[in-house]
Amino acid sequence: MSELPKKLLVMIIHPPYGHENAFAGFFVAMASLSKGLDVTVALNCDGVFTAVMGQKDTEALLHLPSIEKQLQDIIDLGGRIVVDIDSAERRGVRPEDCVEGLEFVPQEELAKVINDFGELMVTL
Amino acid sequence: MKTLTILLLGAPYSSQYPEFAVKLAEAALDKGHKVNIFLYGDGVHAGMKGQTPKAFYNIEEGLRAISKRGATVLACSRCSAARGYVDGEFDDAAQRYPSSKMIDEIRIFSLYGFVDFIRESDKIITLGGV
Amino acid sequence: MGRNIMILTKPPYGCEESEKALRMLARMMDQGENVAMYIVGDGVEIAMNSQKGDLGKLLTELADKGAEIYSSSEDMEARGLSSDKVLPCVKPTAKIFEEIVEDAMERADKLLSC
Repeated sequence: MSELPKKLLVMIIHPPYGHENAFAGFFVAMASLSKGLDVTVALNCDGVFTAVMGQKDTEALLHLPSIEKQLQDIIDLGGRIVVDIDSAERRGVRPEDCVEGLEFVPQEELAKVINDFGELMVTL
Repeated sequence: MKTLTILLLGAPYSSQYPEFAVKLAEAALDKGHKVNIFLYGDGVHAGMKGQTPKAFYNIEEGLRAISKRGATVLACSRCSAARGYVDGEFDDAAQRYPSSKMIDEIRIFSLYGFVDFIRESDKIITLGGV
Repeated sequence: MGRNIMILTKPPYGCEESEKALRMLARMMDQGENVAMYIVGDGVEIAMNSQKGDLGKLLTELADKGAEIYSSSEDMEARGLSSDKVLPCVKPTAKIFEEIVEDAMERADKLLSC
């Protein structure tokens, strides 16, 4: 009997670079995807800032790998990324400012995503 | 018996989170559940040897005690190395990175250790972070 | 209809997360989920009853709709939150970790931490 992959929801609530939590969350998402889990990433609160595209020279400027690349890798590995519209609008983060392939969702939809894909959750 | 995994992001003494982690672990062990703790980011400091807090709950003792009761505690190798805990290459036989600074009950291991925890868990609790 | 539980650890107003968490729980209740909150640490400050901010009202509304709200009596007493200072919909308990474990492992479908 084949086992359905476990569903993991990684909720990112911290902004990029100033604190390692956003990285840490994306690493968990990627490591889990690479081991066959069904992973959804939800960008909420300050986590929406991680989606802004054009993050340049992070290695040279901040000695940190690019979070934008991590997001892209997650999408390439088959992960789904949803963005809380309320958090984004408060902060002035528009879909056109962001990496492609993200789904901007209202809170009702985010609640459904959690219910459908949050069998297990981590929040960073 | 079910499996509870706790992801601990916060360092000891600067917040209550490590103490919450130990207390949740104790409560779960009391009920006969399997308990895993993954120390991530600043959470790895919870495992440092030689903690002598004055008037705080001793996290080192708490982690030693739950480990003796069967909890599995891993510390992220990347985070541990960054913070000066890792003394050498991965020891395949012992399945851990060597460390003179981390308590022996805690194995320094890659993030894939947390992924293995996730796969066997019924529930995960995240504690700490800014 | 499932059961979603949330562990709340952060105080109100200083950060957005507590408000977002409560509003998420409200959405979940609208979608038919049973909801319970376990408030520990600095999160107990959310339960103060004379607050002019929105979170006290939100907590009461959630309770009126059937949400269960428990808080760590130890954390409340340490912070001077005697029962006269706390919203009546919040139930203090001296065994919050035991209760979180029982709910998480035996009853809850989803567990969120904030």
